[in-house]
Amino acid sequence: MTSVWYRMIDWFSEAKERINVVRDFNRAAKYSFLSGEAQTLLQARITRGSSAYRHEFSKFMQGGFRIKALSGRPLHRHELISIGIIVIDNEMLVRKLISLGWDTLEVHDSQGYDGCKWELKKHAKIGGYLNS
Amino acid sequence: MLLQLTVDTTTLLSSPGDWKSTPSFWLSIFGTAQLIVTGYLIFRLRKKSKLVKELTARVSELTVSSSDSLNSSSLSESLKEARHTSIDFSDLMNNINKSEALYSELIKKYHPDRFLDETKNRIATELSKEIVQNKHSYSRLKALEQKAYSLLN
Repeated sequence: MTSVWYRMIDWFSEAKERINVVRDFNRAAKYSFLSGEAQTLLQARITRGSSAYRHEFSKFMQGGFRIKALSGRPLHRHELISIGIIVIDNEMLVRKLISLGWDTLEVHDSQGYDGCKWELKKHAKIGGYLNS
Repeated sequence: MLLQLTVDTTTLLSSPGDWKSTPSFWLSIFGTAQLIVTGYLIFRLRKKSKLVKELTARVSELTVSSSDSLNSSSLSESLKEARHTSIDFSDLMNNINKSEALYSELIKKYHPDRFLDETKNRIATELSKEIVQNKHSYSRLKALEQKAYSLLN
């Protein structure tokens, strides 16, 4: 019974932490857009993710962390790729995303449905725990 | 009474189109759906526990083979700790928006070919390597810019 209780607490704290990550990202993106540093407003949201990129910590139907350009200048493909690479380069963020149940990083432009996606567990570098 | 009930059910079932409105039909549908969902959840749970066992075994193999690698418990703990680490998203935004421009500026400004003096050329070569390594980190590029300014100007 206690394990069920702890699981419930864990589930709620994890859900809260996921929402916090998305909210913090959106807030930082909004401030940088308002201050004029960013030419495009970015927004993070939770998506289904790719089933091929799933790992043992993946959330069911909520495995995708999508960064989408909302307004401003449309982004070129190389810019989408560079945003993705910068996020992937941040090892702490990647670890956090993986531990909170995300498995796919998606970067999309404001127009169309095309975008780029990365498998997070390939970039985790957690001592061979997921990469081996 | 029993006869009356059987007559009722037969009249309900025999009338065309009415069988969908019987509670037993919807109960059976609900029961089947519940069974399927429960079965699927049990299947997922088993699969997950199997995966975790395999991973733990693999990690223990790794720890045995390499002396400096972490053990399975500390690895899972590090993953759990990763949940609670705070991420500086403003720094991430700086990396996304400013790092590319600063990188292209620095790599041109402190290119080794621009320095004819041998010592400065050596310093510029090392700095260029560091600049390329920290291409996506705005804060590190800023620190390198200051370092380059103090050493090469």
